[in-house]
Amino acid sequence: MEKAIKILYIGNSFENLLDFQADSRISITHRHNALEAIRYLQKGGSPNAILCDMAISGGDGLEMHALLRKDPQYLHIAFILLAPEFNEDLFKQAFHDKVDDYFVYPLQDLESMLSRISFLVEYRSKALLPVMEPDEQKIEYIMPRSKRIFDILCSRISSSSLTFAVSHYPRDQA
Amino acid sequence: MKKTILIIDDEQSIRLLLENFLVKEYQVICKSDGVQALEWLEGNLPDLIICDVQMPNMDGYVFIEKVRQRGFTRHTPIIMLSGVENSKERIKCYRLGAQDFLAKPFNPEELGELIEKNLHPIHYAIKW
Repeated sequence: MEKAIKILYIGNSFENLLDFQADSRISITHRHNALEAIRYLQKGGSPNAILCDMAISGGDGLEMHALLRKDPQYLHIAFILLAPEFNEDLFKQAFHDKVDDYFVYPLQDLESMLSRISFLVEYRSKALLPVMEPDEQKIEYIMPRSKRIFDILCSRISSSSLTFAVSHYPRDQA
Repeated sequence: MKKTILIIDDEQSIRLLLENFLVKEYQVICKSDGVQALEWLEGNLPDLIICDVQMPNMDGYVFIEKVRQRGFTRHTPIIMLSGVENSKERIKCYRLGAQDFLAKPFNPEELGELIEKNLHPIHYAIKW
């Protein structure tokens, strides 16, 4: 049976993700650096989400994110940045760069992480759907025959009553 | 720069009341349910969240859980509003990660103080 969520972890702190490895709902692949990760993706690896350490050899997590987002075929993959400690500048930069999320080790409990990753996976796939413009419906108004007859009769009556009024209008009052 | 407050309440009258009350001092964003608010949060980062407990689609409890699961909003202060005033409800909100709780109907001035306290905790302490 295929596992529900496929995760690619890039980094050297795999000991923090042992819970993920043990869970039957997750399939986790580990690559140590950006180059290995790119090769994995180019060879057809298709994770739902990438968990990437900020400090990786051959670049950093933000560069990896930028590289990934340049290629449209990887836009559906949720990208989560992991850091050993909270850094306000990195927090702001990650948010500015539209990284999907930013967590500090130790990670929160597995269920919360899974719930968050599932949300992001769904959100990204929804966000990538082309916005379908509803076809403009051309509605042609067809006047009902009864209304047309009613209008003709009304116009006849009003014109004849106007003619009557004008012809009987006392001239000396004009 | 004005701080951003996200308000989530299904009652339009409450949203309008809060928006009118807060708009002079803060940038106010209103959403009518938790689902809309979570989608907005994917691209935005508020300084504080005010959230109703009883809402359609996603109630306030689930909403707090989801907000706390996000790395970017894990520490964003949340003030809960509820029509039900009892300690069980308050405790549930606090345990899920809300900072404060206000029962409806509430005095807007009290809400203003709670917002100040959560946005500028040290400054607020110095005032005392």
